[in-house]
Amino acid sequence: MAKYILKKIIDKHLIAFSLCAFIIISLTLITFLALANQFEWKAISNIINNHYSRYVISFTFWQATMSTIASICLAIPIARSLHRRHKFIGRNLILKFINLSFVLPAITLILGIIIIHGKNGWINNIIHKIFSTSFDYYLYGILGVIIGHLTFCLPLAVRILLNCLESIPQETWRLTTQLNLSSFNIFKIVEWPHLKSSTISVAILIFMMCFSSFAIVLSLGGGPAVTTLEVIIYQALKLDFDLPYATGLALIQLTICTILMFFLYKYNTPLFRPILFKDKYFERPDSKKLSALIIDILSILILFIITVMPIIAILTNGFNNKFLAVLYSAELWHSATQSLLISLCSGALTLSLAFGLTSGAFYIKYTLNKPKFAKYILLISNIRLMVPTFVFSTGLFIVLNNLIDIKNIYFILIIIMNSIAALPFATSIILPPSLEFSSQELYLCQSLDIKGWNFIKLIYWPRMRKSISYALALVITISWGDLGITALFNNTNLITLPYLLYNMMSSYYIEEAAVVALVILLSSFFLFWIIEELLGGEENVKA
Amino acid sequence: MKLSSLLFIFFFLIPSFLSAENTKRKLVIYSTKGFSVSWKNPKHPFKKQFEAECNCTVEFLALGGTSAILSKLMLEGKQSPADLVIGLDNNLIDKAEKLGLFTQHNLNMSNLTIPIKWDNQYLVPYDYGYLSFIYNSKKLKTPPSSIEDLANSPNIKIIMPDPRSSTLGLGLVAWIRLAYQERAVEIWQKLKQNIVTVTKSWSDGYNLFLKGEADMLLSYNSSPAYNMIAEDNYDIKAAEFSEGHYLQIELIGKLKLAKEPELADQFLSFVLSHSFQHSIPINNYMFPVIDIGEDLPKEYAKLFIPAKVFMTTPKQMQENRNLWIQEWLNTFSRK
Repeated sequence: MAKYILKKIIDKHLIAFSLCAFIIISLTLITFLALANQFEWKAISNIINNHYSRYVISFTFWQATMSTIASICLAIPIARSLHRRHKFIGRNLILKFINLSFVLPAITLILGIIIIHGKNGWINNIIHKIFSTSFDYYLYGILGVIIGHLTFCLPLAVRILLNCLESIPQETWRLTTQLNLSSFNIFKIVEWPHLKSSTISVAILIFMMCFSSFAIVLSLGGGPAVTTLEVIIYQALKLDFDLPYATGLALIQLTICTILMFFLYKYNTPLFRPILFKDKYFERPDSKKLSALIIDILSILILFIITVMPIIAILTNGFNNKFLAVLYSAELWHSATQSLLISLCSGALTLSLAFGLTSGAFYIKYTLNKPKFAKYILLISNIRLMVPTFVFSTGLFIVLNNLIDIKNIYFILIIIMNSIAALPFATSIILPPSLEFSSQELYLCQSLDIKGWNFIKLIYWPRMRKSISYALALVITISWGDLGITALFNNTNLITLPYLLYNMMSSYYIEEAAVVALVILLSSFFLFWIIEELLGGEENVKA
Repeated sequence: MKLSSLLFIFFFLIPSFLSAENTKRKLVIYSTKGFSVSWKNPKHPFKKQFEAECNCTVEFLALGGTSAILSKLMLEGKQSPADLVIGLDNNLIDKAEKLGLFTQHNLNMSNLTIPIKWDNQYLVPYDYGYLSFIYNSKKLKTPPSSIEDLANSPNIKIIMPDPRSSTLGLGLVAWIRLAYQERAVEIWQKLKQNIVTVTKSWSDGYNLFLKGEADMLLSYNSSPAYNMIAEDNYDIKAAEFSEGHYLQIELIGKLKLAKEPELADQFLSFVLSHSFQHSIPINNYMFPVIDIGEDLPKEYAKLFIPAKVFMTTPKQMQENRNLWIQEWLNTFSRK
């Protein structure tokens, strides 16, 4: 009886879900079908027999492994230090910054990294002044790729690990103080059990992100020796239009990433939760030692140099003598308008898809009563971490080319691809809290005859408002700053802000690029802030 | 209802509004980034000149390298808006023909003054030059005398474009291969030490060279003419190499699926006319393909003309391009 009644509230969810799952799955299938008649098994054996592609595959593994190890090895001490120094003045600022790190567009950070680490960069200049020598081109190569990956992955890892440390109960700390454990033993006995599963899932996530890394490797790799599968797929499509080769490479990447993805879901941790700020802290027993103080200063300094400095570099370099000239150029405003249109559209599309998937999970959990299975709905949203973006978009382009006027294809395609890219973030923010309704609450709704639109308006929206506005702000800002597939299709009619920046950077117009980067950076913060402010509303919920 | 109408506006009305156009006939030309400087130059407005002649508008779309343009045409297929492609060259003739995208030009090529006989039915030459390394003679006092000499001086830093994305880079690979045959691999092993960075295109590398990030840049023997004419700077020179130089001829082709075939034909004839050709040495800083007499700036007399010239046939390129590029790639993946 109860089950039957519950069905009534949520049967509409099933329709929305099936529609969205259908859209995503059929997009993927269409892509592969479009490429299937181009595909030959010979291509795979060609890839395996080719010296260079073997080298690229192994190098892709190598750089992803190195980046992951570097991120984790730095993130653990940094998270510990931030946890230990909860009174330190800049802490809140750094934590807020880490929370925002997803908003920062990759391409602007790359420019910041070049300003700091380039041949005429800050570090080389300092070294030159003190030792009158310089490291020259240390940036371009594997080191540059690792530095680039660290800039993105370190805040992510620190945030998740810090959240784990914060979840250790205060009583435990009281106990450790009484037991007088050494710092290492605190880590081994108290912290590691809390960190273990999160560390593994963060490591897998970072490995996947670095494995399919594109913009960083393309900009900082510095040539054919430092490259990834994703980059050579891009080159095969853009330069040779070699569909069999690209599809073969894509299948290899798909296989590897799908395996990794299932491991990731084995260790399921909430990866995108913002850091919680606590009011009360119990003083950690190891915070008074001098050695701890030195380690803390060092690790917070490293975090600052790696993640905050590129932003400072953009802020200081952006206001240069080209600032007004670029700001008044029609080019900038034209691309800003197009970017805005694209990011709003893809924001709306992403959120709709995320809601579709969420209602599916809702249905599976509450009506079918299979809560474990509901979690795996998230997998569908992660399609972009498995299928290489460029293969995806080329396949779709081939299909759309027979259906729509070519002038509109690029526009629609960018929106679709941006949405698929932002979908994992939106879903992982919206889905888990949507499943936190208790059955009692739902039965109560049922008995009060609150269903359909009323359920969403009176129950769902007030509770989910914060998460939804956070998700929307995040996905719109991500599309706003995402270089995405514009690099593949170089269409002169459709130039987004990040693509404008990319063009300026690849032509080495560093000053103009710095201005555009500054504009993107500030507008990203503004967009994020205004959307959260407008939609997020006040904390108090109407009764 | 509201949502669907909003979506409709976003996805259909706005894009079609953005692409609203006027009714004049329009010739669409896909061009390389390198060629884009020449139509943007307001002093030598050959674009305006042609538009007045044909009573149409000409739209140039700068799309990066030649390979990227060919891929884009393949992808766009029948829906491609392009009529002509400018910026192809002799290194890609076989590829362009194999794709079957171009149509015959039916032009008389007898008055061409390029160093070789031209009998290609599909592509029309519009300028040429010899691959050379340029340098600042104030900074680099003793330039290398050959590629091998360069490879043996690891302190001389060079910038080269990627042979996969730039045909200039492909030209260098072919040049070294033709000049050194089997020893090419060995030369590249050493030359690797000289390379500061591999850029996507010539123009990317040129900006870096201007910033003083390298001693030499792969360019053309005619490039110093730019510094002499436009900047009154006589310090930039092209190094003459004893083994000879590689010839690059830049080409324009008319597409089979051109929307405006007559306009395209008209533009092809225009390319071989005196008015277009005399803008080549002062815009593109390359050699014109017909004799333009007094209109060739006197600075061109200061440039060296190589005694020995290398050039690949389309057949040679078709058989060896991937092989040579693989050879080049492998030197980078071998430590």
